[in-house]
Amino acid sequence: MINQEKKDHILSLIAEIADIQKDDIKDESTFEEIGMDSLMALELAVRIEREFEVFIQEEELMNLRKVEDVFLFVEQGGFID
Amino acid sequence: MKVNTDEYQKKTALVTGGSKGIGREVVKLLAKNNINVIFTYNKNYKAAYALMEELKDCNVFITGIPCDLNNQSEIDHLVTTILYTYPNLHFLVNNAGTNIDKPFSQIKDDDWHNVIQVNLNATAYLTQKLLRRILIQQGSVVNVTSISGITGAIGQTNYSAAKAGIIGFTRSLAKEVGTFNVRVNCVAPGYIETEMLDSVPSTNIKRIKKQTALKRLGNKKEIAETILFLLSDKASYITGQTLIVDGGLI
Ligand SMILES: NC(=O)c1ccc[n+]([C@@H]2O[C@H](COP(=O)([O-])OP(=O)(O)OC[C@H]3O[C@@H](n4cnc5c(N)ncnc54)[C@H](OP(=O)(O)O)[C@@H]3O)[C@@H](O)[C@H]2O)c1
Repeated sequence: MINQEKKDHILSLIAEIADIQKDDIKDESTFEEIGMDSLMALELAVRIEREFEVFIQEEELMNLRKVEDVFLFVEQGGFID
Repeated sequence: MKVNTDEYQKKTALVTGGSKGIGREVVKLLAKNNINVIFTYNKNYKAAYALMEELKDCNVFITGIPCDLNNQSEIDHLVTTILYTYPNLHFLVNNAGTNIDKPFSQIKDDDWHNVIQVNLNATAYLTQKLLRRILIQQGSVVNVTSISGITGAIGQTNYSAAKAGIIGFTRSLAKEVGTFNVRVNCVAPGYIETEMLDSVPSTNIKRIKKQTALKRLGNKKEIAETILFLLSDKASYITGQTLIVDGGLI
């Protein structure tokens, strides 16, 4: 399981980018439900790469559709820490 | 122009069409400013090797990669090489260009597609594939267009269309990626002394010089310096623009 600190960090990023309250984001929310368009998703990917030092391949980016997909990706993506 | 070299420490640039002309000057200037450079060339491998040799004592790495921008599999190979070997890309200079000048009525399908492909499509495709790397590094993009894309020119319908396309592309992309603190700009050279001018008759060159406020052709270094300026933080509030460097011709 992804640790709470990283999860919080990701939720804060999503809230900031989609301009919504963190509490309104559920793990199973789709990007569409929280009003995250493709440009915002790109911004999220960029911020995650920059702040967590992971490398997201183009194909992987296409597979990120829900908030929990992002948790799973970060959990499995192998941080370089 | 010599810029603060610390600013560029370890930064990497991709310059298309770096084997000769303006691109070659850009490669040299970036290297002198401590920027690692990957440059592409089409056929001119001797010039590419000579450039690598010339810059071998610079404190940065310089690599030339052959890539015909008219050949999709070669472009994809270039993209893969960059993504996997040099993922920390900061700067992209879409400089490679070609022209096939003819009256519009004589332009064949191939003449049209070749010029649009190398100048416009390859610029857009490469930028799209490498964009996320540049966004992550908060880098910058400069596309080389031409005054021909602004004013039009007899015999250059294909070239003007491609170069005008680059200007529109640049404006829109700048709006899309500004939020990432990434800037995208164009440089529009006037008549610059490179092989590209070989096909222009000398009487036309004479006339062009007369019509130019500074009464001379431009040189490659003047364009390279402008490109470096737009890439650098000195241009930190300039995006979506086309900087005309034509000695006061248009
Ligand atoms: N010179 C001018 O007066 C002038 C004016 C306005 C705009 N521009 C623009 O400035 C840019 C540079 O022009 P330049 O005068 O330096 O031209 P140049 O001396 O002819 O150099 C062109 C460069 O582009 C490369 N190139 C050409 N066709 C290519 C292809 N199919 N695939 C990959 N690379 C290709 C060449 O590679 P090889 O050496 O391997 O062939 C070379 O490195 C171009 O975009 C041009 O349109 C030039």
